Amino acid sequence: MNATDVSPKASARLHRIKIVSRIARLGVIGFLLFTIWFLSRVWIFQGTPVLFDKLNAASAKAVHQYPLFLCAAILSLITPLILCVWYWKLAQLFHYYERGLIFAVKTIRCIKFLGLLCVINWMLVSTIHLLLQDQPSPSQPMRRLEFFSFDFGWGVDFGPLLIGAIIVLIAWIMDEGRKIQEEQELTV
Amino acid sequence: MKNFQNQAKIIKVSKNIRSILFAGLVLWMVSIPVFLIPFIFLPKEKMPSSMICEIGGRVLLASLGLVVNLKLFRFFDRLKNGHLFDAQTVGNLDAAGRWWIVLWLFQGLYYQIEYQFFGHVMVWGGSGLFAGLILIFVSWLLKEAQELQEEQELTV
Repeated sequence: MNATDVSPKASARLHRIKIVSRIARLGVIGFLLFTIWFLSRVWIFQGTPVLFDKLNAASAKAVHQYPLFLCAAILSLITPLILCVWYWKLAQLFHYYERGLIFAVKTIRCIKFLGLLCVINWMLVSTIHLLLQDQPSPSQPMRRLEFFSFDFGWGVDFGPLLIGAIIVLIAWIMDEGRKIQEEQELTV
Repeated sequence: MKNFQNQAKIIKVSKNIRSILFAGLVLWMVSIPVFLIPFIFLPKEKMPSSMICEIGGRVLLASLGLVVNLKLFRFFDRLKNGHLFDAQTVGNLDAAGRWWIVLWLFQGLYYQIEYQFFGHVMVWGGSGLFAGLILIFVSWLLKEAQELQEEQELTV
């Protein structure tokens, strides 16, 4: 028996992981394509994003806020790109699982990158929100009761930051798993 | 040395997340009796059926939130104590994922009732389902590591 031999039970689970990973990868690619299609439809067919429009800025409380609008507009262009990269990396992660690379170095690096993207996205979204804090809110209030949502009344949700931290933590745990696997291979 | 550093980081971060989840646990525990206050103090004749439905829904939502929170709290508590790959740790994560999916389903039902009968516009996305499925998937991966560790211990 060598290190790559696994028990039937573990083999069945690994097989299940591979099948689910394939389905998940296809689903994530679908989401990625939909996001790209949606963004290109908004940006190309409906013209420039609404925040770049000076008239829109002028209709706000003060014209001198236009630089803030511009800043927020540039940042709001970056966040969908981060979302696309996140989907792409997630699809890549599922591809690694599909190949059976559960505790490989590149898999762990991929998870860490996903966590970091979450944190970066949270920083950008919070900055946009703080820049546009004085702008009028939509006429019909939307109520929200999210489980992982930590808004302390500042309008900044700390939930995504916590999710980013948890993803990085999972990467560290997987790294521990990798070390056990390496030790196991050396022992056998 | 590197191995020790990684463990220390996991324990440190788990401790912080556990503290946040503990605060959440307290909040859920407080919110359930708060939602029940009208039930206790208002006479039954003054309570319309719509109000009973709304309060009942909120209590159930909070209870499900409490269960998910509790499972996650236990998971991070075990991580904090250094039990990375054992049956209980993995079981807690798996249970958190399953309960999160139940919470998501109930949220959808509750929001629909709120919209139909009271006209409240509530945001219901797929994030709960996504989070639940991801937790279950991660617990499968941890099960793999758990088995590796058990084999390792048997070999040694």
